[in-house]
Amino acid sequence: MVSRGVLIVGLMLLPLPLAAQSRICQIEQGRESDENARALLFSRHQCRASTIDLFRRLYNFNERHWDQGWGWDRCSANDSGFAFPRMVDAIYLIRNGIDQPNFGGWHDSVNYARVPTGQGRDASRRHSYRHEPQFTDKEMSNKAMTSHRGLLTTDRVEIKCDGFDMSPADIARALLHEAEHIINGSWHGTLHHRRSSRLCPDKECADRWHDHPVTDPSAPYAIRSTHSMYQIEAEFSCDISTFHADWVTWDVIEVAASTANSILTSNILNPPGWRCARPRPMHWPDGITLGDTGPTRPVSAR
Amino acid sequence: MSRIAVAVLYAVAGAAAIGESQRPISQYSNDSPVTQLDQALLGIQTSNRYDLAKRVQVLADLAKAHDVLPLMLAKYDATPETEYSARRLALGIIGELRDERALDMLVKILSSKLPPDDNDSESLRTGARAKEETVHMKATHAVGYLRSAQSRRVLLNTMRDHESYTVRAEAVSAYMWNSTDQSVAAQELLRVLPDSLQPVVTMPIFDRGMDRAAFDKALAEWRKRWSREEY
Repeated sequence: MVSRGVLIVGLMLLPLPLAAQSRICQIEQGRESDENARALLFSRHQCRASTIDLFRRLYNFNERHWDQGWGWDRCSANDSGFAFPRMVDAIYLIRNGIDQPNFGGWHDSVNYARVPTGQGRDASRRHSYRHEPQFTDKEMSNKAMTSHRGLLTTDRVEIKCDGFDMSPADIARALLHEAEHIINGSWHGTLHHRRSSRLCPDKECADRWHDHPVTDPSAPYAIRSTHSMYQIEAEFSCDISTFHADWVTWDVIEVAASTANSILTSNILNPPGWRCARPRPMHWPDGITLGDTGPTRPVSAR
Repeated sequence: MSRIAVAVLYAVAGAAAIGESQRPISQYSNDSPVTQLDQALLGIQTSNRYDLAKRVQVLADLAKAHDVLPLMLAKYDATPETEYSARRLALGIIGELRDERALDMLVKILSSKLPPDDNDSESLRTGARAKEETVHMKATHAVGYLRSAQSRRVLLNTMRDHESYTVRAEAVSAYMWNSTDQSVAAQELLRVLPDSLQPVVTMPIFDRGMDRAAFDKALAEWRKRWSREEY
């Protein structure tokens, strides 16, 4: 009979992630819209070694977390079933998706790109955390991503396997959201959402909005002031929808305005008082119509 | 195969796929209208700012030659429920066609029940309910763009009856943006809307091409009237 102590020691000597090593986070492929978006993003970054190395370093992806079934070395247009290439797509969108020369949105790509980095350039907002993948334990959590920070905790954002099953734009805004949980947290933890009798009486689903001016096109507004989690999501989604770079295609931008407006109406305690993008059926520039369908309203403040 | 070789291979394949959707309409003329429509939709889905007008022209030409609306309605019906982007695209095109015959189907969509709450405690808006909400939002855009007395009534019903506050707010926005005289429309809505929706009526719209000074002015006015800790 093996004593309990021997058994525990024996278990401790086993190579720990035995089960984990055999698991692969395989994400469903084939949704046409997602595949189009990924083909586009791949055609932009093409998994260049320098790009991948930069992303791994800046956003704290460690090989020991991402190499067992998460696609650490899988980065081609055909590998979108793996988690890591999806992170590359999302981060590329954060870093390059906003129009720079004609900028007029809430923030530019340079500023968004710094938010989920382990080493922000602005010392007052310096933080350091990892991005780690995790298999989803449905009984333990129904969150696609979670942020962790604390005295006895490794500061990190965990992306669950299910969390990769999102469009590149959705993963991008979720990464920004989780980053602000950590940035706004204190030494003993991340900042939590609030309950709201109006928005969510049964759970924490709401943030405060911290107002700042609209960017002056000549001097993009740096993300130095406090931004709540949903605020950064709403601003990024609206910027992707309205001030996206020329190469970004319709399937990437089309839902972004709805996402921004959903957040503004459902997750903000003190709404900033604006809505994102004209509520036209297709988010097309003025002058583009399907034949003689009458005049369209010009873009106006209301 | 080296990573660079793989990259080149897929870049070429990707370009070929996108190139397929860029074929001029004349090359599809022997295809059925349904096939032509599918190609035109794929072209729009993968279009960027450079080629959007050209791709829309393909669809406009098709709409001149055929009665496209019934095809689009059938396409929406045939699209799997979880293909949210494809459904939104179909609704977007249906809306742009500005054909009153679409109204019954749009009303049916807006009257349908949303899936149950996603129970996503992080509320990242990635569950079935949040995605279906975006389809309903697109339906309000299509209704509003009809700009008829009947479509305005549908929007008013949506503001009053829809189960989602987000969709109700979108209906307010669509009503306002599609109104010829916005001050009259605002007065009309402020008379009938519940307190929770009233602040939405005069919210300015942030968009590319906006008059920045007008946006700032409208936002300042909105904040003077509505801004508070929580409403």
